[in-house]
Amino acid sequence: MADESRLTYEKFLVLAQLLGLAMDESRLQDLYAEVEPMYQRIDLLRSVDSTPDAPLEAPEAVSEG
Amino acid sequence: MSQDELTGLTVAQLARRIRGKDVSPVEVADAFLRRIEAVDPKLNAFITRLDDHARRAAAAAEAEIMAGEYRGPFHGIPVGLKDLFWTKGVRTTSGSLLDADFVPTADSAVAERLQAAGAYCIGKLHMTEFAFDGTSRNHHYGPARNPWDTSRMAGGSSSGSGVAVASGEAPIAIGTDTGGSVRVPAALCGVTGLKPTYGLISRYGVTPLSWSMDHVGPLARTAEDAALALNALAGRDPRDRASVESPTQDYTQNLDRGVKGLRIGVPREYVWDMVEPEVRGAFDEAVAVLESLGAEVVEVSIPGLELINPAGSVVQTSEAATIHRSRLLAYGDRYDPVIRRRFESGLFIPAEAYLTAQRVRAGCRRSILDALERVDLLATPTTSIAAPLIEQERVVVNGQDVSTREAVLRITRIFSAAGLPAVSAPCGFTAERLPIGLQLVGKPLADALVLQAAHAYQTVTAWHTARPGL
Repeated sequence: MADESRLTYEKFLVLAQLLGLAMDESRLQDLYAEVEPMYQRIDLLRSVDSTPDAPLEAPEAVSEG
Repeated sequence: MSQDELTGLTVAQLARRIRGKDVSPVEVADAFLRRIEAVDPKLNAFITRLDDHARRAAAAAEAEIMAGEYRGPFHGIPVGLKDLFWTKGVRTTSGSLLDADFVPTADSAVAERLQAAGAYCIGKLHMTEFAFDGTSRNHHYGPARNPWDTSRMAGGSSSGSGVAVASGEAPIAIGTDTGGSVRVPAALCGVTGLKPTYGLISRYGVTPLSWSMDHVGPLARTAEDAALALNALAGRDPRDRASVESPTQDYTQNLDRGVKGLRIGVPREYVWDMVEPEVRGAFDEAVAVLESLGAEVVEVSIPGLELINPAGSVVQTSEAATIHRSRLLAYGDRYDPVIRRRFESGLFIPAEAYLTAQRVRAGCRRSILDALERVDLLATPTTSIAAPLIEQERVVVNGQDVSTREAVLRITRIFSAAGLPAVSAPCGFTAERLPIGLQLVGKPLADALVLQAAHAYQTVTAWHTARPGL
C-alpha cells in the first residue's frame, strides 16, 4: 500500500500539469523535493487511527524536515 | 530623562510617566524615532517608517492628556505593527513584492483597538514573505538582523517585531503566530511574546496564512506589558469568524499572585528529542526558579504529541495554498522561489489528507488537554536552538541534521496547532550571548494564568532586562 500511494516524480508531473503549474523542469524538480516529504507526512497521518475516541499512537518515528 | 533611558522603559513604566506628566508623548515619540534612525540601518526591523504620522499622533495624544482626557496605559505609546496588519492609508506589504503597493482603505481590528486606546503606529515591521517562514530572511526586503549578533537570524515570521522591541526601537509590537511566529522571534531576540488562545484577538484586517492556525499576539519587554496589550486588544469581533466570546477581564489583575501551589508539567515525549544542551540547561534552571517560588514541577506524558507537527504542517500548508492559489498561478514568479515552492506544495494535498490531518490534530489537542487536567501549565523551551546564522539552512541538534526552520518551530508549532495560550519569556543566554526562551502554556482562555506565571518568573530574574549592545 505504501508503494501504491508513494508520489513518484512521474505522478507528480501529471498532478502539476493538472494543477496548472508552470512546467519548468528545474523548478519542478525543486518543487518535487518539497512535495515528496509532505506526502511522507501524509502517509504517516493516514496510518494513525484518528477516529475521535482512539488513543493516539505514532506507528513509527516521525521524520523531521 | 535621556533618550536611552526612555527607549529602555516598558509600556507600564512609560505610561506611569506620561500619566504623571513627567514625560510627554512627544518626547517619547522623538526618543524612539531617534533610536530607529540610529540603529535600524544595522537591523532592518522596519519595512515602512511612519515618522511624521508618529509625531502628529504623539502631539494629539499630548493635547488630549493635557486637557485631562487620559485614556489609559496605551495613551501616547508608540506601537510597531507587523506589516500584515492593514493600516488605512499606509501600505501593507505582508513582506511581499505582490503587495508592495497595497494601501488598505480600512484599518485592521488591531489598529482600530490600539487607536481607541490612544496608541499610535510608529512603523510597519519586517516579516517573512506572507508570514510563511520561521527565519528572518526576506528575498525582497533583506533579512531582519538579530540585535544580539547581527549575523544571526531574528526568528520569524514576526521578525521586525522581535528586533524592534529588543533593540529599543519600539516598546511593544504586535505580531501574528501560526506556527511560532510571535514566540520564536521573542525567544531568539530576548523579549517576551504571547500567543493568546485561538480567537482571543481579532484577525480582522490581517493578511491570512492559515485560517485555523493564525493568531495575533504582542511582543513586549515583560509579561506585564503583554497583559496590558491583551487588555487593549482582546475581545469578541464578529468580523473574525474564529473570534471567541471571553469574559471581560483585566489581564493585569492577578499578575502578582505568583506560582505558589501551581502544578507545572514538563512533557516527557518529543520535545527533548532535539534540544541543544545550552537550551536544556537554561530551561532546567528556569524550572528550578519556578519551583523555588512554590510551584510543583512534574513530568507529564502526552501520548501522540509527535503527531501534531506533521498534522499542523499539512493543515497549514493546505490552507496557505488555498488562500494563495490564484496568485500563485498568475504571478508565481513574483514570490521568493523558496516561499513559492512551500505554498505550491500545498496544492498537492488531497482533501482526504487535509481532513485526516485535522482529525489527528484534534486528537493531539485532546491529548494535551488531558495533560492539562493534571497540571495547571506546561513548560518547555521555546525553541530547540538559539539564533542560527542568517544564511544557515541546516543545523545539527542532538546528532540530527534538520532544517533551521524545523529546529526553531518544532516546539512552538505544537501549541499553535492546539490553539492554546503560550508565552515565551527570556530565561538565559548561550556562551555566545544569544538569548534563550522559556515557554509556558495553559488551558484555553487561561491567558491570564500564563502571564501570571511568566510575571512571577520575571520578578525574580533579570534576563528580560538585558539589552543588546548596539
